[in-house]
Amino acid sequence: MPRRAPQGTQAVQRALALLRSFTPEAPEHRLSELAAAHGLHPSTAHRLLGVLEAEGLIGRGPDSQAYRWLPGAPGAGDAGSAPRHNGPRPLEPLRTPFHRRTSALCESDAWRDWSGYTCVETYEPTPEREYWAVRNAAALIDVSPLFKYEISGADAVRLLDRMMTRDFSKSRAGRVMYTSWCNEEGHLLQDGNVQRLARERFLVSAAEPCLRWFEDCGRGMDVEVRDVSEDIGVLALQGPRARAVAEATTTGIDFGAMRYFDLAAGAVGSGAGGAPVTVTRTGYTGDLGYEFWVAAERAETLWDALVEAGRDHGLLPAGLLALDMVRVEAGLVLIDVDYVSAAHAEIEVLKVTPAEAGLGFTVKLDKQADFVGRRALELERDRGPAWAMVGLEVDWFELERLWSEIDLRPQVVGQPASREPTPVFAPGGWQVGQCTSRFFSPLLKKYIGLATVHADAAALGTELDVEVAVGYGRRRARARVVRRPFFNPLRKTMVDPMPGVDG
Amino acid sequence: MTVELTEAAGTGGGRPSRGGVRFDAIVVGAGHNGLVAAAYLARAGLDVVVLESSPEIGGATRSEEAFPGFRFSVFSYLVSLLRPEVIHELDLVRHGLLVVPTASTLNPLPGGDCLFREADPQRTFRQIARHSRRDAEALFEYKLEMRRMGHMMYRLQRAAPDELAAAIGDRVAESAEHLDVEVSAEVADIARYFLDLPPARLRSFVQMLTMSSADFLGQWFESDVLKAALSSSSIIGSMLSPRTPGSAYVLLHHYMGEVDGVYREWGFQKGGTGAVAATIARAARSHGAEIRTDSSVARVLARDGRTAGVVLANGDELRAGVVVSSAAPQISLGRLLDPDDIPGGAGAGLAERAARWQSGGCAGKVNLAISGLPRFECMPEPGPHLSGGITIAPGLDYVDRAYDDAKYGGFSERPFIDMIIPSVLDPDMAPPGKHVLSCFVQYAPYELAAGDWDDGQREAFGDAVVRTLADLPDTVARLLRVRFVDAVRRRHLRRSRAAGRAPGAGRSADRRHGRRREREDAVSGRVAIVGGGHNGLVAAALLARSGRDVVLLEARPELGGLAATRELIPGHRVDAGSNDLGMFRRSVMEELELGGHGLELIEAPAVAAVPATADSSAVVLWPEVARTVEGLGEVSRRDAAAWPGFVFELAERAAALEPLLSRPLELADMGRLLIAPELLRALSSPLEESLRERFENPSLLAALCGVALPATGLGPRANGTGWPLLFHCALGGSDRLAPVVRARGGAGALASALAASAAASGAGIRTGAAVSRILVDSGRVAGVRLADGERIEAGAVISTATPSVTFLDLIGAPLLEPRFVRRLLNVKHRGAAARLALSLDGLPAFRGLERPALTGRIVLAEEPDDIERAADAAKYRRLPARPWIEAALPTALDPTLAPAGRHLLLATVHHLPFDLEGGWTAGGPELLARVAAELERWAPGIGGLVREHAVLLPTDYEADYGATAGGLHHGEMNPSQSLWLRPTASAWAGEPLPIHGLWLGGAGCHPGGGLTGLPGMIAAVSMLRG
Repeated sequence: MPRRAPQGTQAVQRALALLRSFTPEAPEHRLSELAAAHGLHPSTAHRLLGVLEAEGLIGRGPDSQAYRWLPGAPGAGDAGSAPRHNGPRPLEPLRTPFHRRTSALCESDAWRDWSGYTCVETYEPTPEREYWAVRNAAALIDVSPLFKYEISGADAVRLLDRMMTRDFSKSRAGRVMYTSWCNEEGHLLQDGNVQRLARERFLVSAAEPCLRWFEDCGRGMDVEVRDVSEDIGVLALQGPRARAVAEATTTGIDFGAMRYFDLAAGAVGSGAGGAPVTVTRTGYTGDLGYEFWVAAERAETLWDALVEAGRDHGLLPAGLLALDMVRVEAGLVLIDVDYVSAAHAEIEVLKVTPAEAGLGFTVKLDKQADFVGRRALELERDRGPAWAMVGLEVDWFELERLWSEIDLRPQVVGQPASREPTPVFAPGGWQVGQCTSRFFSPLLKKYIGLATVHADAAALGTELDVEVAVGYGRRRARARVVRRPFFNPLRKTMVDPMPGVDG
Repeated sequence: MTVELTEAAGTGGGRPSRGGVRFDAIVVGAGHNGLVAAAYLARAGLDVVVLESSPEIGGATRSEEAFPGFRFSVFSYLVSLLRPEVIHELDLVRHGLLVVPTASTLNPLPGGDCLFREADPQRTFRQIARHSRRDAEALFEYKLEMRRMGHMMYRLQRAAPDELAAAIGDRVAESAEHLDVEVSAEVADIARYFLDLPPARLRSFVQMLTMSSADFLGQWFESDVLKAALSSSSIIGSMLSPRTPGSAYVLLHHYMGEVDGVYREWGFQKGGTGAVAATIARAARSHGAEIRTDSSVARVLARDGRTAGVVLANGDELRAGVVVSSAAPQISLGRLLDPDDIPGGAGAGLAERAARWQSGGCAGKVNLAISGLPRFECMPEPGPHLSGGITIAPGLDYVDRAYDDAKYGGFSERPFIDMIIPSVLDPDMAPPGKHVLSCFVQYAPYELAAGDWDDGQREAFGDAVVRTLADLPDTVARLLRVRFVDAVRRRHLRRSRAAGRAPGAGRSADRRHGRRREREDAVSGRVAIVGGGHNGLVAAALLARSGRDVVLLEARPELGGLAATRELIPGHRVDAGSNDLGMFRRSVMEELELGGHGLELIEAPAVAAVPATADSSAVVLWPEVARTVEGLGEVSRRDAAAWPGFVFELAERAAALEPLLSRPLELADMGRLLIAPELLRALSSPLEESLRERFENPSLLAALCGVALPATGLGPRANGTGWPLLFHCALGGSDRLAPVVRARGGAGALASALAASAAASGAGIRTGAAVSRILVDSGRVAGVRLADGERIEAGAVISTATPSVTFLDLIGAPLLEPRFVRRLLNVKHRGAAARLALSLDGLPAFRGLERPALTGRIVLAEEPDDIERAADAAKYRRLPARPWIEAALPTALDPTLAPAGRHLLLATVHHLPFDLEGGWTAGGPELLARVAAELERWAPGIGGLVREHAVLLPTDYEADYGATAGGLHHGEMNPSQSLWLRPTASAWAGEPLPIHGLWLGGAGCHPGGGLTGLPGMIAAVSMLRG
């Protein structure tokens, strides 16, 4: 990837020297004092301190002439300790443990809020190369803003079995389970992965906070729920070359033997400097890939190792725009985009069951435990879900036809996935649902989308109309219900995956 | 856009008065409501004049330039409740409406901490998470619920209360014919909307209307800081504390404010709120309305039941067929209307109702001119927090203490302050670089106990504000001038009158039952009854009599539960809890032939008595009205005259309530209550306030409060305390006022008779059999397990333990839905009690009371505030400095209870905190010392009579009798936990209990605590009916 050449090392050295002056013992310095101590012209010191402040490395004192140490800011006098990000001061920005690395590479200055964290939307001005890296080589995605909860204790399995729709009596240590969880009415609250780290220890990752719900479900049980969201950094290494990069980086894990949704513990780097990591063969891309879970204070060690190893494999850091594109190809639903969590729905009609959100496969009504929402889901099984999540595709000729009406070639490529819901119609008729995620897949060369439609319009092959923007106009394009995932390479799930293999 | 402030202050806005005397409509008052009415009427083509007594329009929406260059909003200071339809229909934007959002709220906290809530949900999440991670997560759920309730209230507000009550009553109670009210299609639609809501949602809405905001917020939040911050909206403009029932409704009222459809948005009108009035006035004038200031209306003219115009204070008459008054009801209906002008003699009643309207002020406004922006230790730099609200409310106790100060007639020493800095939002409010700081301050009572609001008091009030702000040192340093605005504004939301506007019942009971799980089959086989209190025994006896196979299991060695009689003092029969059978169902006694099984009742000659003290007179209430009147005549002629009417009205209301207390309530019953607004008012009002409408003698007031309030957590000034008095009267037999009836041999004799009756019908009764588990198999009751491991099979279980113990301890949360568990945890158990039993050498000398007067309740409180102050102490987890005592001398009626020559005095101390600061081990002896001192004060020399004593503390009641948190009623009997809001035998909140074959039969379910036998009876009857 293109790196800007450094403008000169002197400024960097000066800035670092200034930064080191801020320690817990000497937290506050005035500009004039710093300039004198470092032999700098006050205007130079002011400029450098301004950069440090803008980067969130130092703060301003109550007196505008004073700068102050930020607890948790990386690199300050306590360099080497945890780059913590959730300080007590009200307006401090929230940063993932990889932020120093990702921000250094973010050339586009395109950021997006994800659960309060400042995250890279695209590293380069357009997401194209990052998207192709996922499908063609390897990409590194910072997904640390996921909420993480450690559930431990003698009743850990009991609690998960009570909350989750999957059967946790069948879970085994060293495996990850993808599951839904519902409220008492069987309405979907969230979906997420559950790692079984040990017999009585699990790690749940979720898109939205759920400590309170987990604690309330576990009342009266011998179980502890701990919010470890900020303690753990998560990097997704995804793409056909992911295994090669992972193998080059990690010790103690047999990637050849690792199956889809396995988890293993190892270390990144060697010897005493090695950082312990948990690796899961999971991801949100629908491709071969791994997710690395690391203690926040060792996050940068992990990042550096993966980037270093990735140089020979075409690895690029990828932002959220690219992730959103590949997850649509993978047919993976996104909470509060493709379905509304029952915890967030103000009116009843917005709530869905797992089956209606395309997650029916996570509901195990044959399991022993009486899980929250079970009764309602049994009723639904008997009468059938009212809605269905379907994949829709619009083929190339239809796109050509629509654009030719305004005398243009189809202008569909290069646009990120849209999350603006648009109506889906019966051919030429009434609205039967809504399309919530869609884009033109450069890989598949089709316009694809995820849509929620009436159950009777959900059969494979059903023809429906979707709204597409053609110039300034909105036109109905003929779409077909197709199987999800849209893209499902063999390498995603195969044991001992080889780089050259695809679906 | 510039807004001309001068125009708002001017009299005619440039348009000269036409001086006319005939109009289509006259509007009294040029506050924003009067102006809106005038604008609408003028827009409809009517010739309208607005008459304002003061020189300026605006009423509570006024701006003034108190010092050159510094502008203030005099009273109300933010805009949000102004309805969008008014804005659009009157085209207010064109006339100058410009509302800048105040997007954040900062709550500075001691020690440089703070809570800062801003528009961005993620940052607010992180802020709250610093105080409680759970609360941060709960905030979204809370907001969702508030939006839903706000939307329900939005609909309610579009229907006139009586019309809606009629519509609902018509549908559910089929008893609205006598309400001569025409129901429009729109209101019928609104009624339907409510009746079609899921029952649980309807109930949470009704419950919200009756709750305190502290309890309401406690359903989601644990952090005191966050609860205090959110509860600010529940007290603004109201003489309520966050812990007063009814404040939750005020919270919703303020949450319902919206800006462009978004709830909970508030904004600042450019130029201050005076500009709002100016805007509406411009709209009114644009349609031809005339506005006259300095025109005070003295009287509304009415002839033959129609308005004809008004007479001004200067004697001028203006004529119009329509008069709209925007003055307060007590002025509009009381002062401006002559009762004789209202035909049919209805005028007096109307005037009386108007006079009862509560609208005393509660707040002051302190406006400061400052030389620079204030700095907060937590957020020292200028920033977005300065353009939002800044509230000094660091904790619930802080706000509650501020309220307590005002309750007794002072202003708050450490007040609640809601600040904004208008000059940050609108630079025109102050000279460049200078600022105005608007402080809305609570509490400041309209009438000071210490005298008038003279300059000295105003100064002292201002000092209290400045002292509080001294935590913001820079602000005080920058203080230029302080401007006290006429300190007190009228309180407009004194109480949740909304109970009267509550929606009615839900769908028909038949449809509801269709949704319930089939329960009939659950009653086959043996019935195990957990708990041998009187309710369990009633259920056992009734079921056995109907041929059921019953086994009753009592953990203690003796039966009776909280109504057991024990030999706590050797040779004495001491009642552990209740010993008053006045409320016990007579039909149950007869059906179970309790007389034949040894029960002998003795009715006390006296109902209640308060002895005299150095400062107060003795009062005795007798069952016979004439006898009471005779006695009262010696202390207050007025009270004596009012007594018969009071007893009659109470009996009437009690009789209306009584049918609701002996069966499970259905939603239709809500409709029945709704069409009885006076009954609703009596239920929801502060007891003391209702009593003061009739009575003046403090001892009499104390006596009635002492009858009503034992075992509650509320003082007589709290909303909702009318309910317990009605409850006592409704069950005490409607012909007399809450008679005292005892069982010979002590309350335990009732338990013995019930047990004998049950045993005679074949029920198995086991004592010393502690149930440790209710066994559940696939959601169905299978039996119970005893503490010693014995398993008893049963097809059905009636638990008389508290709902918390039944579900959380005996069944276990993992078998219940999380939302059900949350509901259990939200049950309030306030109102713990302690009992001191004394063996005396003779009758104590209660001053001014003859022996017959000692047979009933002896209330040791000089005035209602003695009870109020005890309740105050409990709020802060303290012992009352001077406990109020409910005393009884059972030996005065039944000498067999003590050895010859001895008397037994039971002194019960109510309104105690279960979670006493420092704990009960240390607190118990201290309480005893204070009780002893009080007894000595009331009955001098009593100390010398004491031979032996025994004590039961709140912790004993929990440990020995399973009374959760020491509450004797298995859940506080406040309106938010009563009637259809209390669990019934087989359902809760409109939903069946989650375990098949389980019934509740204790005081924790409808109708509640006390020796009534009703919860047990209802459980048995509903089980038999299936």
